[in-house]
Amino acid sequence: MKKYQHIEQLLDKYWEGETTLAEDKTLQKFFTSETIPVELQTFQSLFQAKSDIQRQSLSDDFDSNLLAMLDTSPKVVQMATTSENIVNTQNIQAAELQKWRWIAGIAASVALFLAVYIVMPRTETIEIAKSELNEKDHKEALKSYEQTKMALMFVSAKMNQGAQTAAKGLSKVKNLNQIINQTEQ
Amino acid sequence: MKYGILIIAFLAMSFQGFSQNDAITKYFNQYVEDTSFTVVYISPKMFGMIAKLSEDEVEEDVQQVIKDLKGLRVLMKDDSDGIGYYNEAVKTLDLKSYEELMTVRNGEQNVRFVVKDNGDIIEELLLLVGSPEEFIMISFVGKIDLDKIAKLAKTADIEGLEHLEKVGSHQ
Repeated sequence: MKKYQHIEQLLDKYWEGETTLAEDKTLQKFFTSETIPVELQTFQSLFQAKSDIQRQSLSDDFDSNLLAMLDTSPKVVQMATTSENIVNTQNIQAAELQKWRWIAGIAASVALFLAVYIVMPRTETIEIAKSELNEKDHKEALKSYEQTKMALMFVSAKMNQGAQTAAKGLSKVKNLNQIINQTEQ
Repeated sequence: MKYGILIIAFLAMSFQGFSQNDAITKYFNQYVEDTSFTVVYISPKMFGMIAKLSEDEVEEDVQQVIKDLKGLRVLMKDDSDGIGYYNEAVKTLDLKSYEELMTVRNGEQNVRFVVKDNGDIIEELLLLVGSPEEFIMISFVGKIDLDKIAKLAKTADIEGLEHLEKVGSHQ
């Protein structure tokens, strides 16, 4: 009974949560192995269950099994691929964007050049058209044209006259006809 | 940039137009105020305007010559001692800087053609005519094509000249 008294004291301490690890072990040992008096049997199941839980442990292949499940789990794999896809799509979108930026840049330069080459001559032709509309300038230009033409005609005539005079002089000297005929034949 | 170069080139060409022989300008200006002279001066700017005339207003072969011209000066005096003015002009103008193209003395009429060239391109053509009846000085500057100018009178079929040509070759 003395032994049971000690157990009862330990139990009181246990309920108070003041037992040491060694005392816990003594209690557990007592309830799982020795014959238990009737008044203490109510606590037997508690300590037996406790020891059962403590005895439970992960099997050796638990880690590998879990890892295998993780690797093969279709859901997990799918999730992984989806996230990869997202990353890929983002990459592609970025590349696409870069490409379009290039094209936009080239298009802008071409547009700029076209603007310079098309707009600039247009303003020039407008200026020409304006000066053509100017009636006074037009009359002056026509008058100047006629004067220049007269001067050119005069110069041209004098040139030819000079050449003719030379040719005439030559023909008077002799045999120009023969020379011409020879060259013609 | 391209237009900048064009503008500079245009300005350079314009100045070339103004660089008409100083002696000619001086000689020309000497008689500009003299009302007994017929004076014609066509500026580079005016040649620019002539170039804008429409095709049906001008003759193509004439315009072909005119489009390269930058300046024209004509000095004329009728019913006067043309030979005196002619000799004065020959003396005043620095003819050494020119190349003699043609000198014709036909009776009492003196005709002298001189040119100034830059390589293959003739840049100035000066004609002096002096006879007891008239004095004529014509000066062209620009890019001068003598062949084209010589053909102008032929295509215009100036009588006498054509006739003279035939007489010359069939005698």
